[in-house]
Amino acid sequence: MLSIPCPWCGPRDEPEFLFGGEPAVRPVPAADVTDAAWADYLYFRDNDKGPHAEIWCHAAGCGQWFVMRRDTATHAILSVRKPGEPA
Amino acid sequence: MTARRLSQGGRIDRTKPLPFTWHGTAMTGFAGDTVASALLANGVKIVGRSFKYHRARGIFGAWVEEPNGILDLEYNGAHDPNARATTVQLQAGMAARGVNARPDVDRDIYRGIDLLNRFLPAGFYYKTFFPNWHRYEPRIRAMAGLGRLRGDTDARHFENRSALADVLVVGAGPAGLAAARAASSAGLSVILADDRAEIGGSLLWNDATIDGYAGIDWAAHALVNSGVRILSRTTVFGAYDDGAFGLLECRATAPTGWAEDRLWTVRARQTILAPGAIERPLVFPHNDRPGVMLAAAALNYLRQYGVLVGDEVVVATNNDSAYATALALREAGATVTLADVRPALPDVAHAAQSVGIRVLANSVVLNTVGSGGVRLVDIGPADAASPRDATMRVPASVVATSGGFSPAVHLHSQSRGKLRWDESRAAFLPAGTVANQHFVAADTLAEAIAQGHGAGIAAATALGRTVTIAPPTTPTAPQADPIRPYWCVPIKGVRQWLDLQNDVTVKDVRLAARENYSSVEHLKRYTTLGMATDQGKTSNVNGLALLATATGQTIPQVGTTTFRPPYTPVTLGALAGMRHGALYAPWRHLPAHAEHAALNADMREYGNWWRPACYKRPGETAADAIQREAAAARRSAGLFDGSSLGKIIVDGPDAAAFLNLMYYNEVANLKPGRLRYVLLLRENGVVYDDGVVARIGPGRYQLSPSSSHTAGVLAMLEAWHQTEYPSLRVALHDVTSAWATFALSGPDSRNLLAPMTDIELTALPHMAFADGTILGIAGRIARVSFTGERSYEISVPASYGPSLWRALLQTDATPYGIESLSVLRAEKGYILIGTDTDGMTLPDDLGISGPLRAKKVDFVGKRSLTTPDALRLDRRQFVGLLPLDPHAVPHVGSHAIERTATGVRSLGWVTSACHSPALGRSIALGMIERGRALIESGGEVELFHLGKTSRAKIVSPVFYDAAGEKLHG
Amino acid sequence: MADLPPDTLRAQIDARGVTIRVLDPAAQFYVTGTAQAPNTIADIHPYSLWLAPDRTLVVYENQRGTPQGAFVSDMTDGLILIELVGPRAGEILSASTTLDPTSTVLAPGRCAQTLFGGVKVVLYAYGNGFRLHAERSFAAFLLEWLRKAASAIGESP
Repeated sequence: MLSIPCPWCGPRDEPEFLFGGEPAVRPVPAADVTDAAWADYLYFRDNDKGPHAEIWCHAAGCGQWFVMRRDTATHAILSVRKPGEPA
Repeated sequence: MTARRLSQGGRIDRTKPLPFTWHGTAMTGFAGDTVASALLANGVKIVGRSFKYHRARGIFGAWVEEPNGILDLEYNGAHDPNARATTVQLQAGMAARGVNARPDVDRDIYRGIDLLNRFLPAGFYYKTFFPNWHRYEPRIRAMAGLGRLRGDTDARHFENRSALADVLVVGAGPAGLAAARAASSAGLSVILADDRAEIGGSLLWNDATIDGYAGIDWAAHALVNSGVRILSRTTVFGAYDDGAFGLLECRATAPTGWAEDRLWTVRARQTILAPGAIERPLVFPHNDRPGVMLAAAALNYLRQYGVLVGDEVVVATNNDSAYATALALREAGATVTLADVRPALPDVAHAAQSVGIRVLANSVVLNTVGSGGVRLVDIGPADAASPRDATMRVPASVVATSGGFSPAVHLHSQSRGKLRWDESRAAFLPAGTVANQHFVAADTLAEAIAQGHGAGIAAATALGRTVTIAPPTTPTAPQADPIRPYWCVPIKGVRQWLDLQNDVTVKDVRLAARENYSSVEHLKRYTTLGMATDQGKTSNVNGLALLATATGQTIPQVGTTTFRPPYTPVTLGALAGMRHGALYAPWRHLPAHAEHAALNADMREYGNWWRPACYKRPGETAADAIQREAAAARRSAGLFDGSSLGKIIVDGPDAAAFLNLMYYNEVANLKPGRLRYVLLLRENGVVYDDGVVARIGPGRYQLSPSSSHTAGVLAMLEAWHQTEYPSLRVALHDVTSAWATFALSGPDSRNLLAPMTDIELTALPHMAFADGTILGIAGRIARVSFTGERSYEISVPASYGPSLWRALLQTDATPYGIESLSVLRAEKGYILIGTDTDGMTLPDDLGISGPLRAKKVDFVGKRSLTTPDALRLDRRQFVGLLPLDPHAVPHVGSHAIERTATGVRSLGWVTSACHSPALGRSIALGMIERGRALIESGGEVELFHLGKTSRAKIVSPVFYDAAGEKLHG
Repeated sequence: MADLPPDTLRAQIDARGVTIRVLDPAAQFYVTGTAQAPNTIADIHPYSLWLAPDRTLVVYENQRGTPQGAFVSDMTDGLILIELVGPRAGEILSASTTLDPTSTVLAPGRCAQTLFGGVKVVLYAYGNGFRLHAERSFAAFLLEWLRKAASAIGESP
C-alpha cells in the first residue's frame, strides 16, 4: 500500500487515490490529426520498466490531479508535481 | 510413558484450573496453558493425522512453527476448524477434536492408506489425471483438507485500526526490548509488537541475567514508563510499501467472544525486525512418530507450562543449543541420552555428562520404533549406511531434536530484501539492508541485546534524534562450538520426513530432482513441501539443502522460494473488519426515504442509492405494480422521486466555453431559463453519459447527469479542467444532496401542480424552467420528461423533501418507481446509458449526429467520430422491435441472427424489453446492424436465445406518441 | 397556501468513552473565489474549511449568513455534520479511516478530506473530539457504522 505525497495534502495512503495511467499529450486540432496518430494517443503508452510518468487523482481527498514519477520496478515514488509545474 | 504435568514450575497458574474436552473426554488445564500444553499435560500423544498418508501425528513444536497440532476448536459459540493448538490460549469450556480422521485421530480408518505409500509419492495426484482427470480427482479432492466448516455465519465482531509510529519494533524478545527501550529514550513514538501473550520472547524459557535481574523480570520492567505502545498477541504478518505493515492482534480476552481479531495497518518511518529464529529438526528415519519434537519446544513446555514431555528422552542435535534442553529435562527427573552429530564432543557436553546424561559423539538416530508413538530409539554413527548399523537401542518416548536455527527473515524478504547463506551458522541471513529497516540476527543473548540497542540507535539517527541511555548488560557466555550441517541420514530404503503435515519425505526430493524439477520453486509445487498451513517453517531449509545435494548445487545456488505475506494465517473476518453485511459498502438514502418505506415500496439498490423499484399494493406482484403505475402515469398523473439525479453547478466567466469543449452538443447558445438534452462522450467517442443542461444565469449552468454517473461525470470534468484546460475560469459544485426533486408526470400534471406554486405553469414550455415557490418554499420547476407525458420536475431544498412528497401524494397522483419509469421511457424510445448503449456506442449509432457537423470546437471525443470504424456503414444502430407474438417479451441479450451459407452470424441484440401497457403488447429496443435502413424497409429479424428462436419486426423505437403531442401540450 | 415543514435529522449515540451527535448548523456553503492555505481551517464565526484550490466549505454554526465569494452554493440541506466527543473518539477514527488521530494532519487549525467507513468526509479536530461533514444522503449509513464502531470500542481493553 503506497504512501503517496499529494502536492496539496501531503502523504496519504494509496486507497485515497485514483490511478490515471501514463499521461499523453492530446493532439489538436482534431482536423489535422491522422487516424494513426489518434489511435496512438488513445491506446498506446510507453509502459517503461523503471522510472515512469503517471497521473494520479487524490479522489477521496482534495480531488486534484497531479503528475508522479515512479519506478515501476521498485515502486519507489521519485517525485510529484502539480500539473503545469516544470518537470 | 507419556508427557505429564509437574507439580511445580512453569508460568501457569495452578490455582485457576480450566476444564476442557478432547474428543468429548473431560480434561483439565490451567490458566496460562495453550491447548497444546494442556493436551500434553493430560498425556495425549496423537493429536492429528498427516494429510496424505494419515499417519499418527503428535505435538512437534511450541508456537507458530507447529505442523501437526491442527485442531477443531469450539468455544463460546465460535468454531475454528483449523486452529493451531500451540498458539491458542486455553479457555474454560473449550471443546477440541482432531481433524482429518474418522472416527477420531486414534482410530482413523484411513490409516491403511500408508500401506500404499509406494504408490503415492510426490506428484502422484497429477499423474492420476492421465488419461482422464475426472476418474480419481473428485474422490481425492473429497478426502483433502483438514478441518471441516460448519456453514454457520461468523457472528464475531472484527475491527480494523490504523496507526502511525516513528519506529515499529517486531518482536519483544531481548533484542526487541533493547531496541524499543533505546528508540523511545530518543523521544520517538514506538510500537512494539509480539505475538505472545507475555513479552520477553526466548527469555520466557531460557535462563538469563540482564542488568543483574533474571531475564523474565528484566523483560517485565524494561519498558515501564517508557511510552512505548506494546501490542501483545499481535503478529506482524506482512510488510508492504513505504513502511506499511499488517498486524493481527488476537484479542483472546475480548469479553464477547473468542479470538475476535483486530487488524492493524501500521505505517512506521523506521522498522526494527527482531523476530528471533525458528528451530529446524534433524532428519532421520521414521522421524514423524508422535514423540519426535523440536528440542527448544521441549524446553519451552517445561519452563513455560510445567510439562515434562517424557521421562525417557533422546536428544538428537548438531549444535550446542539442545544441551540446554537436555540439562533442564534431566533436572526435572528424566533419563536423557544425547546423540550429537559432531565428531568431537563440544565443551558444553561436560556439564551434561556430570549430571548423568549419556552423551554420544558422531551419533544420530537411525530409527524410531513404536506404533502410536515413539517407544524405542536406535542410535548409530552419523555416516551409517543402513539401520542395522545402530550401536544401541534406547527406550524413549520422546526424541527432542535440533538441526539448527533459521532466523525469521520473512518480513525482510517481503520487503524485497536479499538473503545470503551463512555457511558457518548454516542459516539464511539478510544480505544488505532494506531502506528504513534494521534486522537483528544474533547467536547469543549478549549479541542480541547489543544488536537490538544498536538498531534503536540507527533508527533514531535516521530520524535525527539521539539515544540517551546505555545498552543493557549481560554476562558474556562461553563461545559455543560450531554447528555441523547434517541434512539427513545417508540411508536409502527407509522414509525420512521433511514436511510432517503434507507428508513430504527425502525420497520425494530425490524424485523431484530425478524428474528434472531442479528449481526450488518447482520442488515446492511438485512435492508440496512447505505448502501446508505451517508454510514449511521447520522443513523448507532442510528440503532445499537436500535438493542442493541431489542436483549437485550449493545451497546458495538453490536459494529459497519467494516469501509472501501473511506470515501466519489471517482470519478473513479480520481483513473485512466492519465492512460486511449492511456495512460492506456505503449506500445512500433519498431525502424522502422514510416516506417510500411507509408506502411499502419495493426498495432496491441502484448504484449506491436505495430507490423504489415500484410500490406494490396488497396482493400485487412487482410485475403487476409496474404495469399499473405506468398506466396511471399515462392516464392521469404519476409521482416519481428523482432526488438522486445529479446536480452539478458550473460557474465562471468561461463556463460556457468549458462545457462546449466537454459536451457533444452545443451549449453556449442555450438561453437562460432553458434546458437541453446533451451527451458526454469519452475521448474514444463512446457515449459515457446523457443528461440535461440548464442555463441558470449569465455564466452559470446546472448539469443533471444520470444518478449512477454523477460522480464519474464530475471526476471527468474536474480532470479535463485541471489537466487540459487549467486556464479556463470555471468551478464545479456538486449540489446533488442539497435538493429533493420529484417528477409529476401525466395529462393531469399541470392541473394538480398549479395550485401548489406561484410559477405560471401555462407559460412554461417543454425544456424550460422557472424559479418560484412551491407550497411557500423557494424552489424550481423544470418542464422536462423521461416518461413522454407532460412532466414537471419540482425541486426544493432536501429538508423539505419528505413533506413535499406527502403533499404531492395528496393530489392522488400515483407513485411510480424506477422499473415503471423504465417501461414508460421504453415506450418512447428514450435510451438508458449502459442498458441500450455499451462500450462501443457512438452518438450516430443512436441517431444523434447533428452536433458533429455543427460544432467547431475540439470537444471530447470529436476526432473519434470520423475514424474509419466510426464511419462504417454496417454499424449497429438503435431500433425498436415488435415481436410477432404480442404476448412474448424477448429476453434482453437475445441476438438478432442472420443465417448464411457458412453458419449463423449475430447482427446485434435486444437491449431492453417489456410489456407495454400503452400498446397492450410486448415491445423491445435493440442495437442492430444497419438498423435505420431496416426501419425504413420494415424488415424482420430472427431473435435467438438459449436455443429458441422467434421473429420480430424492426420499427422506430418511438412506440407511443411519435409526434410528441403529449410532451409539448 | 400553508408552508411545508422541514425535516431535521436528530441522532445521538452514547457509548463508553464517546458521545456522537448529529449537529444542526444554521448554514453551510461551498464557496469559490477566496484564497486559503491547503487543508486549513480559517476564521471562527463562520469558519471556513479548505476543500480544493478553488473551493472551501463555510460553516455558520448558530446564525445564518451569506459568505463572500464569486460562486456560492447553499449546501445547508446537502451536508450532515457529526461530532464525536470523548477520550475514545480517536479510536473510532482509527477504526474508520486510514489516518492516525494523533497525526499532524488533524492538528488544531487543520482539516482533512478522507474516507470514513468508505464515505468521503471532511474531518477535523474540534474541542474535545472531532467533527466530520459528509453528504446528507450517507447519513443513515454513517450512523449505522458509528453505532457499530462505538459499541465495540467501548469494550476494548
